[in-house]
Amino acid sequence: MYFCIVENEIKYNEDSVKEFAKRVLHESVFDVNVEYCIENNIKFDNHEIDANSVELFTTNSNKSAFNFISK
Amino acid sequence: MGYEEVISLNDDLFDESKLTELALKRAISIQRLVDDFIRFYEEKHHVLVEPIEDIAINLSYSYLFLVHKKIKPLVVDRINCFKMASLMELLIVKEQVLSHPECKKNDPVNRELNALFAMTAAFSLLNCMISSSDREFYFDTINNYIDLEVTRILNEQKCWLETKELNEMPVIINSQFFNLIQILHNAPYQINGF
Repeated sequence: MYFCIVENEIKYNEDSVKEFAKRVLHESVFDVNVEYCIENNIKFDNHEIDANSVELFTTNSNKSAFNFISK
Repeated sequence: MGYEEVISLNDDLFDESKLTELALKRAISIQRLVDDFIRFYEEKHHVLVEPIEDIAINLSYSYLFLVHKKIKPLVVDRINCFKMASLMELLIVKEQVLSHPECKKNDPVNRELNALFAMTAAFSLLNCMISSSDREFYFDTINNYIDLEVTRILNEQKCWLETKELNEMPVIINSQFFNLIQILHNAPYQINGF
């Protein structure tokens, strides 16, 4: 099965993408014990803005960030 | 633990179709980030850069997958933008998604390239998420000491990203770095501390 972003006419292999993500999760060593937090109901800081309500990685923003870290 | 055992954790909350739908949407933005960065970098350094295959959808899906598995359980509702930036930065470094065609995978040149891309992605994301995102993310505190120190701190972050163990993902503690940078960026300064 293929994903397809119609607007950009990009196609991806769904199985390959999911395997990529599973491998990343499997290999990664995180700094927080998630199970411990769930068991003990420990929560971190919340955030008000829904990322789906803003446009991410605009060209202006990308340029600004690149200039910022390229000083 | 095999991949399937890992995936079965919290499966009652895992809606794969929603994750896929969101990943596709975000992949368009991430593709723009990749295209922009490669263009900026090639213009500045006059060297070619190649992304891994299907970079945008792989980053997008993996990012959301990691958020669901490792970050979402830690917050009440939405994860904050600093954790988002931190995770995106570390994911890019872990996967070394960009390379110079003539260099080997773990070449220091490639490590630097991916560190720069990771930091660009993180600050661009913050730029879009923070309330004052209509102005550039730059430091102009009129306090030269602060501005110089921020430059030094950014270089330290870059060095760390270039040399860290790839699989280590200290998302939470790294998010504090972005939180502090944003606080510095937004705090008003007087000239020379007066």
